[in-house]
Amino acid sequence: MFEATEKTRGRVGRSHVMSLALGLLTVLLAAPTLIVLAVLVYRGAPALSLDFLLSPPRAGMTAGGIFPAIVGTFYLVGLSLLVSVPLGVMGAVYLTEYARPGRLLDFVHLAIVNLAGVPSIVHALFGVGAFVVFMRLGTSILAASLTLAVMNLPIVIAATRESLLAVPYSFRQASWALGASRAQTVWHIVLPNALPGILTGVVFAVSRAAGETAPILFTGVAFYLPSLPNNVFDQCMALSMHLFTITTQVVGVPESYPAATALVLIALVLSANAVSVVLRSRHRKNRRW
Amino acid sequence: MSAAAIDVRDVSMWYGAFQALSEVSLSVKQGGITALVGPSGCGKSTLLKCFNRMHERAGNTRITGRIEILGHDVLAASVSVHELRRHVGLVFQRPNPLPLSVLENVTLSASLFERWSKEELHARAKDALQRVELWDALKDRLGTNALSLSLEQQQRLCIARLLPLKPSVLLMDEPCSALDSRSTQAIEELLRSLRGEYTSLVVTHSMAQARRLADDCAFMLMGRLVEAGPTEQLFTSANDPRTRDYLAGRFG
Ligand SMILES: Nc1ncnc2c1ncn2[C@@H]1O[C@H](COP(=O)(O)OP(=O)(O)OP(=O)(O)O)[C@@H](O)[C@H]1O
Ligand SMILES: [Mg+2]
Repeated sequence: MFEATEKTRGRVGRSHVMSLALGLLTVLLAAPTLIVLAVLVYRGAPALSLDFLLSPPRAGMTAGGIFPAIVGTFYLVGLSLLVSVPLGVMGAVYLTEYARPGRLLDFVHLAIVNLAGVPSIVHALFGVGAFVVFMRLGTSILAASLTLAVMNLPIVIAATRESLLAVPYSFRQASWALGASRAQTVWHIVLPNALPGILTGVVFAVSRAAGETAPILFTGVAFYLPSLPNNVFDQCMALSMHLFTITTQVVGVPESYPAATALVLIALVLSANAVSVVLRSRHRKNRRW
Repeated sequence: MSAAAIDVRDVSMWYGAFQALSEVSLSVKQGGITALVGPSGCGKSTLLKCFNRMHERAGNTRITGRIEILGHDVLAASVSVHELRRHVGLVFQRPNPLPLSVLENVTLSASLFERWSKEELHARAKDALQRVELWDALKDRLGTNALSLSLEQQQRLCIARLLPLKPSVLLMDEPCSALDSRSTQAIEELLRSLRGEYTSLVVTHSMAQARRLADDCAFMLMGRLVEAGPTEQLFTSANDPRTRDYLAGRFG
């Protein structure tokens, strides 16, 4: 009585076809990424060397390396995270753990979600108006970092909010019932459990800060600088900008240079990703819900 | 006859416009086990939450009347809910240990209030775990995540984590409803062993459990306290016909 009938056999067959098709589709989806990487490695490899990484551009950017751009990107990403992560996390904590639910909260939430979708060139204009001109920071690392931070703030808030909401309410109740204050509950219970989700948001913020060109173009990044910046009020170079420059603005750049620069940029973003994957998996090991 | 540990006088409570408690008056004897019974939605959990003011988290609530615990007005504006909750512990229906290690679960409450040395915390945790008979089973696994324990162990842990604060009252909202009958028996045994030291107020849907466990029993219906008294007396000769019907299992 338990043997397969004509009908169930057909169902099993169809389900095999389906999973095969979906498997193929998955491979197809991964293909563009892999192809891009392969092409970049193939074309950029000739230029990649320690010297390329550690020396400044020479001869009108047609020779030398990309050291100042790497340093500049580190400054911009680091400084912008220093602003957007604490502010974003605190904002999300306020919105989810403290603010009274109601129309105002819904409205603020809607505004944040929409802000996350604003094109980066608009953030650039805001950055020029607010930081370069109004706050008189001039075109500087600080102004550019703040612009990137503003661009990333809604992303960090949204990611943090999502992961805070995913922490079961019963944990909060248990903690409150033990006499913990809201702040103690957030600090000891909610935030540690929301960490993986927050990390995902931070990594996304890293990619955006490292990869976007528009927000830094008018606010603090130069095409070419002969020396490294001394402080945050100087301008700097950046990988994304440099890539744009040597691809479109300069003649006589070796073919391998843009590809090699792009590889370095991708490697930086991927390593941020790798760090977060390691942190997350370590976290998941002692998680049981 | 010992003094009342909890004295409730004419308490009414509203969630927004909905009145969940109407003029509840009740006196809970110190050191005993009192069972709170009544059909679903009659306000048992709500009443418990008022005792440690957890109801305030629901947002738009209003409460009138007077609740005294060990002679102190709980609803007074000057009361710190954090101090109150360290003296009035609450055990939830579903075991809800925090996603921390066993040891951290037991020491968390104490470390919220004071700085302790590691040894002192460990000693207190050991006391508490021994009290709920978890120590022998878990003494080599104090670092494991509490959520990987069995449900019974989790519920024991939820009781244990209250003890380092030396609470005077233990509120239990259907502490056995997520457990099988063997674990239920074990938890009942534990509650019995805590009798005298702590005043326990236990919400239950099981008449049999109320009868087995409780010195006193209180019956609620639709936000009102219908009748309260010594368990045997309530089960054999209740004054109110509704109490008789409910305890006999004729409705609810
Ligand atoms: N946060 C809340 N907001 C509004 N109404 C609530 C809230 N919590 C409970 N109520 C209502 O108050 C009444 C009493 O609820 P309560 O949870 O105290 O009942 P209970 O006796 O514990 O029921 P059960 O036996 O099912 O646990 C119910 O009608 C319920 O719908
Ligand atoms: Mg209830």
